Amino acid sequence: MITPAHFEQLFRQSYRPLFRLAYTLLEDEDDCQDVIHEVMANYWEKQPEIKTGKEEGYLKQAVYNACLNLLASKERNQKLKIVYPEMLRQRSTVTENQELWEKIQWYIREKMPFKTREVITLCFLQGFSYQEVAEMLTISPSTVNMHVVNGLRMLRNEFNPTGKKK
Amino acid sequence: MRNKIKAEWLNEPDGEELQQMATAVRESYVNSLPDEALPCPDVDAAWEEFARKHRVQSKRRGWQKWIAAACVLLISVVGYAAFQTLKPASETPAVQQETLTSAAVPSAATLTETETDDLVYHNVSLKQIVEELASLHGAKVSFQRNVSEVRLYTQLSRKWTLAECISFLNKFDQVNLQLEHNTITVK
Repeated sequence: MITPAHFEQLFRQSYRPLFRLAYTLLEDEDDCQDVIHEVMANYWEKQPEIKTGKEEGYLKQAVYNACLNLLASKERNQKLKIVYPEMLRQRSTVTENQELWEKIQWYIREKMPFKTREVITLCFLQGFSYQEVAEMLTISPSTVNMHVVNGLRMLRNEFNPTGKKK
Repeated sequence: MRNKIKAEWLNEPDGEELQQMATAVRESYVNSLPDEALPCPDVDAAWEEFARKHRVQSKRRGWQKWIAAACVLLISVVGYAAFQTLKPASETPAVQQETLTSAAVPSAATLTETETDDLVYHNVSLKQIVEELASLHGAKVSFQRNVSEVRLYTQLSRKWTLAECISFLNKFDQVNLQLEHNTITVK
């Protein structure tokens, strides 16, 4: 039986890591809060038997799953709609996923050709459109697309767990 | 920010796989952002809101609960004391006597304290009763005759004054008590 004091401590210490995880997936502050509150409420009401020290891992996985479900339910693009359940299936644990994020960052930083890295960073970190990136780098939008697709393929070939290669 | 990028790679033959990777790439960038760049709300405020919505009693609330309980208890005690002080000293002895006559008669002499704090005497000697009363009200006793053989079934309220008790007991045929200068004289 988890005590209110223990639960409050768990809530306070895991809130920021959970928010980071949820925001990584959802990128919406309100959605993040809703998901975290829902997961925490569920935890408080059901009081699952978790080994001491494993509570935060459990909560992270619960938040991760809830985020993917929320993304799938919100997605209007039919092609994208199937992506999230697929992600749930393929990258089933949040720990594996966090490792993947770190590996991707390492790969982009260390292995990617300079131009491709520049385009990928502008598109995915800064959020610029193809047109904006094309103007900044004085290249055509189709070249931007080529860099993005090439970059994604390199990453996919490196990290795709199914091992499919083009 | 994510929606601003048109997912043109979806038109590629391996579009779905590329989309998965694109999602992971965007996530990897967001995940690498420093804490200051994330719009994380204040943890205290988040907890307050959560505890209120889901009725989780935090440490502080538990504390407040105990203080509230202590206040309620204090008010009850004060209220009860005030009630006792303001209450009329006694009910009429005649009524009391009626209830006494219907009381069951036990085999042995007993003194019982009832829930209403009354002194109930079952076959108890007058001597004992008077001494008890004197002790209760801080009075002295003076015996002018031996009354150990006079035994009574009666009930006296602790709330009565000594004079009321004496007056009540004097209604018995064999009892003749007098109260003067805080001394009970048994005649």
